[in-house]
Amino acid sequence: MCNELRGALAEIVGDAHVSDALVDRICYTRDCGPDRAGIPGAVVRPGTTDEVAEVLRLANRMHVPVFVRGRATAFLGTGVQTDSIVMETTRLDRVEEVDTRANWVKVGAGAIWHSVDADMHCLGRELAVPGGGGLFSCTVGGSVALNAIPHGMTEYGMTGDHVLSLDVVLPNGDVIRTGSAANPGAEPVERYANGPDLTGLFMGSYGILGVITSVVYRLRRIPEAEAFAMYAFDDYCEAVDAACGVQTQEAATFLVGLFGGPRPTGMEGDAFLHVIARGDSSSTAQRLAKAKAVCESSGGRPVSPECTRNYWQEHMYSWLRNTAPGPYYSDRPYFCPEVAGFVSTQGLKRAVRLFREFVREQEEEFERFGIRIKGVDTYFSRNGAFLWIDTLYDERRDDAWEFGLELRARIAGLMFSEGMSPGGIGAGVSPLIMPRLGAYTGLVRTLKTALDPMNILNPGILVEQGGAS
Amino acid sequence: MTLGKRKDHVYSCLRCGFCFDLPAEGNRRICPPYITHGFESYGARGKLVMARALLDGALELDASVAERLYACTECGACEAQCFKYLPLGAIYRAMKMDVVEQGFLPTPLGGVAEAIGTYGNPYGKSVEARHAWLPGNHRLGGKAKVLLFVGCTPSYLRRGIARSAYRVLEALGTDFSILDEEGCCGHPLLSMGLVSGARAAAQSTFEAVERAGAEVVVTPCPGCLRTFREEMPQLLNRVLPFETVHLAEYLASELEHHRVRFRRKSSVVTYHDPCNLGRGLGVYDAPRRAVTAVPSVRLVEMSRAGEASFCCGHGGFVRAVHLDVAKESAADRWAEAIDTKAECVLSACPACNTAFLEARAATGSQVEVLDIAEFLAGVV
Repeated sequence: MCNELRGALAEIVGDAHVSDALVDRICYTRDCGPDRAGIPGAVVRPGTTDEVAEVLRLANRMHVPVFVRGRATAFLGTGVQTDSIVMETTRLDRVEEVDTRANWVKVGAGAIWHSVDADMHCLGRELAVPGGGGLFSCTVGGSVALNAIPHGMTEYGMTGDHVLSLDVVLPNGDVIRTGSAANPGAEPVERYANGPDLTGLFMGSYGILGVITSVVYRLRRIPEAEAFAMYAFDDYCEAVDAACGVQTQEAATFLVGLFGGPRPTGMEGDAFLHVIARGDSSSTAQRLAKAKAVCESSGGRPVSPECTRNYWQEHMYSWLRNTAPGPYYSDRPYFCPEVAGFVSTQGLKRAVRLFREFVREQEEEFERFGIRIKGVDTYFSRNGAFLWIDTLYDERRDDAWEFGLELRARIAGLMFSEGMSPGGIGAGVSPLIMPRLGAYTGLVRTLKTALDPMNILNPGILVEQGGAS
Repeated sequence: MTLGKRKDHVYSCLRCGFCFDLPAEGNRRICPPYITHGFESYGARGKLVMARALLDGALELDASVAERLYACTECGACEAQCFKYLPLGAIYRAMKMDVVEQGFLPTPLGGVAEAIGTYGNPYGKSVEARHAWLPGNHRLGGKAKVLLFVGCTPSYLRRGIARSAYRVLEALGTDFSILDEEGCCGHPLLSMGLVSGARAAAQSTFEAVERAGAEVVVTPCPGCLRTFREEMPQLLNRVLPFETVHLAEYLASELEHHRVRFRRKSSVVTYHDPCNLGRGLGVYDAPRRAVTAVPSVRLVEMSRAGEASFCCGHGGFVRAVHLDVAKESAADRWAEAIDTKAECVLSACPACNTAFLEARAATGSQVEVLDIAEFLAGVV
């Protein structure tokens, strides 16, 4: 990093908020996933939208790529290039405005999703987005830029369904506001106003088209009651049929299926469904009664819902298996080359069968490289299923690390060619899906080129590298 | 490289970032140096990245690494939050041992270590001045069942705490003595990664206590207590033949056996959990039991209390090298204490007491700041 660039960044954000020390830069390379990344030349922490804009203008002038980072809690690869600038957003963490009558909150992109949700709880509200999607400390901006998969989407839907407005700095430094609030003086009450859905343009864009600096989320009054149930099935196809019935009859706020990996501690069965119902007391009870009828008619056995309750109330993945986070994860230096995506609910039967066959075929290699299966689980959405296949490799072994990356490519190749569409892409997964999408990818490239002709913003994450990189 | 022994733990970090925040409490960051400096290298996730880079040879241990490590107040909040229950404190200590070995211990801390070696206390004060606070010498160097281990900070800087601890034990009718040869227990040295120095200090303290024939060691200092309970047995590789308790625990136990009564004191107080006593040793209830046993006292908790308590910024001798971290954390915690509308901010640690006294002075507040020993000495 040349002194000129460091000095220019310091002039924009202040000396305390930029670093080119190696000891700082090495902390801004990877996310929680398996993908290697370069060490940036500088880390800059803007505190305002104007500072973000100035940094992007500077990057354009000096032809230096910029990678935007919240808390980097995804498993998808950051794509950070050597000697680039990493722009870290966590100083943009203010809850800027709350309107509990109109049910929305405007919050800085660097705020921690769960922190904002906790703040809203004090007002008797919750973020209508049913979960941040990333790990506990994901930021609001990251959650939106990745259109994160929330942990409660069967009834409530996806992250994007609850975003009313965004403030975005375009790659050239221009600042726009989307939705009804684009009209100066208007409030952010509706996303679909003032013409095209420009909010949607940035949802799931992985920050290649602009830097989101604040988000307006819908709020929901906290429901009066929550109830939990869990069912064990001896055949995963029966569990899929039960899940389909629960979706059709709208019998759950949220439904999670376990179709592989370790069984929940102390339970017998081939597949399991967690059912969560929220609402007023009577409707919640009615929905659980419906779910019970559906699951039992498909061969499900009711089992203790304690892990369902723990999972929902503590947002801990490991509780899905009746196991507290510590014992399930600790002392395992394993990383996860996750493959995850949407399929139809009935399509799950084929996807799960294919994966189980794949595991049998790879048994020897799994043994050789010490691969484990963390889970083959499903968040059921409103119209389908989000299946995630989590394997684990030991990163202390270089050969296992290489195999883990290859394994992700093999599983993705299998699943994507059988109709799975990934929910998370990132730098690691985009090469495995974008080439399959034809004109769709072409349009993404066209948009990228139009908005970022110098290719300085998150280059290479969704479409191939070029420009400043 | 000492860090090499922790390789599996270092590689086990998922980089989930739970160590930065306490999201269930709203927008609250938990790590003092990360709050002050903002770069991840000052937080737990960054330190684990540094550790891994050191192990992998991608980073050389130098002054910049040391600078980050010694900005840590050793509050243990990151370890309490860690999704994978990693022993983060032990990892940092291993890194510090390597820092010391390679000669990168920050100069001010080197001065502190030298003072301990020369004078038996980290402040470079004379040995003779150690007991200047004592009302009389009749308990000095005697043999008794209970030993009051005063600690360096109460002995030299916060003498009100030393005097109060003394008064409390006298009021209880406890047969106790004080070491005439009391010196540093070794806690600051271990915190700096100076293990052999810490071992020597622990050994000489242990021998002195053994010579005094005490069965119970009572101390008002959580750092000393942690040395006795956790560090000394490890450093000396032996089980200690005496019990060690914080003064608040001693009082709580006396209350349980109906051996103490308090005078009425109408006051609304809040209590700050010292990191070494709370997250470090799991002592949360005893100080609260002692305080709330005083008739007409109302205890109001801060929004972050118990295991979720926020550090006052004065642990790990951070003041010596990162005054900004110490001051900012103290101001943050002080504001939280003031939010409770309490008339008195209590703690059970001389370092926390110092932090709050300075934070109060900076704000011009009239709210009282007391150590639990001082508070209870007035009513026992």
